[in-house]
Amino acid sequence: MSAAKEIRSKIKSVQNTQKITRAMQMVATSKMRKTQERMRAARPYAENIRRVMANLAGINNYAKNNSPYLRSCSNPKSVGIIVITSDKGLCGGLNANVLKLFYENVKKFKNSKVSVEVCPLGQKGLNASLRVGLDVTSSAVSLGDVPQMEKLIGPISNFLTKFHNQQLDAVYVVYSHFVNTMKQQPKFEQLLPLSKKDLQQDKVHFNDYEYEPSALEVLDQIISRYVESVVFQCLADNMASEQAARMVAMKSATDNAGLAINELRLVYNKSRQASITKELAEIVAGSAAV
Amino acid sequence: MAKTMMLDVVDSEKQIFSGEVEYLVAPAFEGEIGIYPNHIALISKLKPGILRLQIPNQAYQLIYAISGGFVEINDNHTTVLADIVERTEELDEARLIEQKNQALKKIQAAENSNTDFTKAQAALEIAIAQLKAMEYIRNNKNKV
Repeated sequence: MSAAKEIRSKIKSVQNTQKITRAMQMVATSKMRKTQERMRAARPYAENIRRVMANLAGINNYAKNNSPYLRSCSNPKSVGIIVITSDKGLCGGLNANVLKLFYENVKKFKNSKVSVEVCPLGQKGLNASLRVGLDVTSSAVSLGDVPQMEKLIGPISNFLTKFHNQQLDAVYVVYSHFVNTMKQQPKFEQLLPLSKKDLQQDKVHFNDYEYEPSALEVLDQIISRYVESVVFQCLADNMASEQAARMVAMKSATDNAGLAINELRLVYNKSRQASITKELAEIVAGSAAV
Repeated sequence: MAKTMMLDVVDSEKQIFSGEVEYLVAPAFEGEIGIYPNHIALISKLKPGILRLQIPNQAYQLIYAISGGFVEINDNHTTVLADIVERTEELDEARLIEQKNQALKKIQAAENSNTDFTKAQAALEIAIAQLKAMEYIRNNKNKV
């Protein structure tokens, strides 16, 4: 009889786990919609600021040639990497995939004697970077479910100033890109120096802008805002990926719990029937003996 | 009908306004500027302050408090890239005064630390800009 009781309590505990995973799945589903909306809402700013920056750089050669953000460096000596991960776990292989891509690139830089500085955004990335002993120069954790610019400005400006002062030759960002609910793609992208695609300008019908205060000053500030907005976008993208990955992971956990319960129930019924049969056999044997 | 131009107001988190306006008044780096259709191409930094939009055929103006950013004018299309925007209807005077006082306190407390000081100063500027926006509305209530 004790075997049946054990199985019963096991079923109970799996059921409780299933309740938790189901609740997490539903929470992630509703959050995912909101994070996707936020990702979309942030797009107009990024698009507009990129356009203004490209026009300015395309039109004003003086600013273009003198801006420290637009210098090119064919042979980088030191690079900065912004690692965007989630704060919390239980979201499948999301962070593991991002970190794998991150480690690969760090290894590549180290092999070619390039020094690497890291700026993790999100608890998991911070833990991982510290564990493997990387040089963490700034970080931001506890980012919540809503991307907030004010939490990013500090860590990003650290890299921006270093790039400005030529202490860093390039800045990269690694994050999970939201493809669709089932698929999140880890991505490794270059932030600085700006790529040609970033500086693709529209057709303009005039010679130059008027500037207040000066072209160079305006351009530098626009570029730093642009970089901030790109990182902001990546973070929003990563948050949408996180919720999607969590939803899928929790759904399969719920399904697996269901399967486990079914199997346990089968074993339980078998053992119950076995004990009934045994009791019957005993009674019959007992009456036959009398 | 008066001439109009396209205007987009965006901040880093969302699009605030997109449509035709007759003119707008923005807190540019070297003083407030009014922008009418056919303005010369211009890029200017913005200070914390009030952004006013005149929508065609409307008696009232839309008023936003912004905390800095840029304005770009390009071929009769104006873009305001603001850092943070708040509709004045969303502002609450008591809360703003509280924020302003807190920022002032922080400035006094943070005199030795450079980053805290800059942060507190920025917060103060924003609170003052928003208060200005509220005051502006109050003073012009009879006109609009």
